[in-house]
Amino acid sequence: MIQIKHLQKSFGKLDVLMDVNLNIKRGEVISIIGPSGTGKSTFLRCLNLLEQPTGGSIVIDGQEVLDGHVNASKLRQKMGMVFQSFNLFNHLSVLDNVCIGPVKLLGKTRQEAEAKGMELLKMVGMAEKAYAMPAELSGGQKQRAAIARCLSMDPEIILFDEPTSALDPTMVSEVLSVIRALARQGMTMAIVTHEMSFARDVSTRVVYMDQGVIYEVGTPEQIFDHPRRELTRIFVNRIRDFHYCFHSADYDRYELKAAWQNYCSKYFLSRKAVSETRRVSLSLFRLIPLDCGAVDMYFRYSEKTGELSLEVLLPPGMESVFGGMEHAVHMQQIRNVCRSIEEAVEETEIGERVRCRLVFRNLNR
Amino acid sequence: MNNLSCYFVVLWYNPRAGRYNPGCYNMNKCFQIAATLVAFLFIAVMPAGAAGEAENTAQSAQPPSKGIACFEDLRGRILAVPSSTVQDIFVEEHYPDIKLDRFDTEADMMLSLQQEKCDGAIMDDVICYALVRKTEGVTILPDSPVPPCQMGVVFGKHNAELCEQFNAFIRHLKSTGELQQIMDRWIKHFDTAEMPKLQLPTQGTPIRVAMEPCTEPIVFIKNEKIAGFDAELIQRFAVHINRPVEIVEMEYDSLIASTTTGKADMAASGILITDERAESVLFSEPYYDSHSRVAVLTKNAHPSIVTNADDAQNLGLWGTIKRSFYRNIIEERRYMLLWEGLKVTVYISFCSAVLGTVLGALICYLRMCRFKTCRAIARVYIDIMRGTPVLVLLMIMCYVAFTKFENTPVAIITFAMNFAAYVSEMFRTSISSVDKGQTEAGIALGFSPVRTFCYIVLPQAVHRVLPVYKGELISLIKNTSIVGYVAVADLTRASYIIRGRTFDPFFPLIMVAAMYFLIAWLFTVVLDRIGRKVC
Repeated sequence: MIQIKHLQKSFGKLDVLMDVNLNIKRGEVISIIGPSGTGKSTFLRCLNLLEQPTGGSIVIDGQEVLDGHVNASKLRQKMGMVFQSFNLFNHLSVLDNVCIGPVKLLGKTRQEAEAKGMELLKMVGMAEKAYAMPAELSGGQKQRAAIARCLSMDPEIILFDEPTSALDPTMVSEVLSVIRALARQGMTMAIVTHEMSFARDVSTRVVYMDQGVIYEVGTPEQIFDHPRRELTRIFVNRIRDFHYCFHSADYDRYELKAAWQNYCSKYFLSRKAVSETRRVSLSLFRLIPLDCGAVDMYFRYSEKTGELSLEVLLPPGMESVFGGMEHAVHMQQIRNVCRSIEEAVEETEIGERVRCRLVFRNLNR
Repeated sequence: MNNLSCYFVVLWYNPRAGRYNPGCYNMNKCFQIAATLVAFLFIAVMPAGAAGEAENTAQSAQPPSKGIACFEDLRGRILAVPSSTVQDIFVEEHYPDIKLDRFDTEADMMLSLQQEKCDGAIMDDVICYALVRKTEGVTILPDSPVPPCQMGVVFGKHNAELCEQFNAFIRHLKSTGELQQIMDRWIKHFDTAEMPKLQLPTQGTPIRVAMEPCTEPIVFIKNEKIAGFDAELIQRFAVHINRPVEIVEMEYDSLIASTTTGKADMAASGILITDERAESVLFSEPYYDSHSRVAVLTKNAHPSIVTNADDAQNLGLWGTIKRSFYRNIIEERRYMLLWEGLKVTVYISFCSAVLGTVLGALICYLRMCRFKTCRAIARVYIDIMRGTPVLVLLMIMCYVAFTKFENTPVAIITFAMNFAAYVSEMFRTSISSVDKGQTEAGIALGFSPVRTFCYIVLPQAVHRVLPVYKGELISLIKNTSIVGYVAVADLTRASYIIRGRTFDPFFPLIMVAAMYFLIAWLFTVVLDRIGRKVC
């Protein structure tokens, strides 16, 4: 139904979208996820020409939309949009909001529009508030009214731009139920959202956008359970990195300690986690000679799973850490605290390096 | 100033340390500090100066201990003069120690005298006699330093032919003695003087005469008609040359200028012949020798010069109010003057408001246009209109730009232009205050940008702009009161005319204020109705 090829959008010098390619079929529900500022909303707004793309092509039902001859208003009447800030017309009642489109744009009579409008409001649960003004409604009610307003135009696809980001958790579920119901009825939808569990539940495909392109695309299971690419994995598991590079044995231990404490307090790691991980890393660094080159240390904390892992990248040429028996005491210490210890050789720009990965047991109790 | 980067060291005493501390200061900072000090001094000195000035005034408004007996006794005191007249120029030049208060009309001068805001009031003798006869507690000083002047009728230099005709007419009147009779009737017996019943011609090109009918007995409004010896002379002249006469009412200051700009063929309101004036206009033959007289309050005057007996009636408060009301509103059907003025004010206000709103919408559109030149044009227009006082703008439009047109339409255009500048900024603010999301939602729904504006942005913008617009509209209605300066007979001018006859500021002003309030209230009610329809 919609084919997007090499879509580009830049605001002056800032390139927000660099090369976006996607096909949307009828009946699909596409969730678009990704970190902030990567152009998800911009992409959605390019679809219904609220933003004018600076390059590429969008073909809707066989018609090229970016050639300058298309009637943008007619196009938008077929594509509904639901905004993060609801954008209900403040001077009209809820019913008037729902009716204004059909009456003024589709040429329906007031009675027809009102009948259809009341039906739609019933469907979203807002029939009682039909004559209320938007200022009297809560956020969830406003969003549902906005969805009803979209539906009144009989759109072929509805674009949702972070529909629940401005709502508190109780109202979020109201709106999500409505969207779920729409999905069950077979409406084509493209949803930009931060609600991962919802995206997983309701979508047929999930798109992860990063660095101005579609970084990875797949079914919800593929993206959330088995992300293939690095950034996807980091995002989906909400991994937070702490990185330190050791150049010599005379590294500034106080600086490292302070930085590490900062990191821990930022992510609310328990005191047990802080002390155990410090002890393990100190043990590890007694095993590793620090004067033979740059040693990279990564702490990875997944906010999603609560898993904490320590990775050490040895300089090229150095072999495995866990060799001789004289390291037995340290090794035992490490094994007490960590759930798994792995070693692998990795190919990097500066040569082959050994990556040693320790995954800690659950320390957050 | 920004490039001065030199430093200097200052020693300042630190009491706690008990010694002088060196402080190193940047020159820029010094200039800033110096500028602040100067500003502070200025602000501090100003009230002191004003207080001193007030004290000066208060001092000289005290009556002299022995009473005023002659003009010399007014030295060091306050004298009310009609502005830009012979008396004004003479006294300022020859008596610099007398403080002058300049007024537009003699009636205002008498009021000021009665309210003891000045010690004396100097004016032409005919006016003085008339006013003193009508006012209680006022005496005329026996002497006056101002040399006598002659009254003449003013003609534009291009109207020499008409001037000759008038001169012939005056000479005729002088030879038959009729001129003296006319003058005596109005000056000596002015209480009973009536305008002659003349058959005024109606055919032919009218002679336009500029007059200010606010001075008894020269020219004033009596029984809704123009009266006075100048008025009589003009009417007799019209009969004499068999042309209809059209009186153009305007402020005294504009009388002479009107003959040069062509707004009137001649001007007559007891204008005194001076060399300075004769440079720019043509004077007719003089028809009256005018001396100047000074009026003072009887209680401040030396008993030797008081000749008129005062019989002050004591009516009590309610009686005074009733008499005041009768004299100001009922007598001579003066309420008709107010009614005519009201119609003119409403007409001007309404037309200016409508025209101004349309123009304001246009300027607002230009101001929000995407082309830089349009925006620049709009900004320049707004800045100029907002930076010029309306009165100055009105005078420029009437006397410099559109001299050949009737003053009323020009005034309407001027008010509309001024109104448009303020109103366009209000519209712009109200439109930008509508959340951008509203426009986006409208566009996303499928409305074209124009329809989005009409159905979604405009109702919300109107709702927001209405309160401030109402305020600006009321301002406009009140601003139209200055239109009397360009000779349009509106409500304020009507009160002016009445005040000129009765010297009673209370009722005319209160009635007029009440009427302005009524007009403003009516406009607001109408606006509310319209507002409710739109939103």
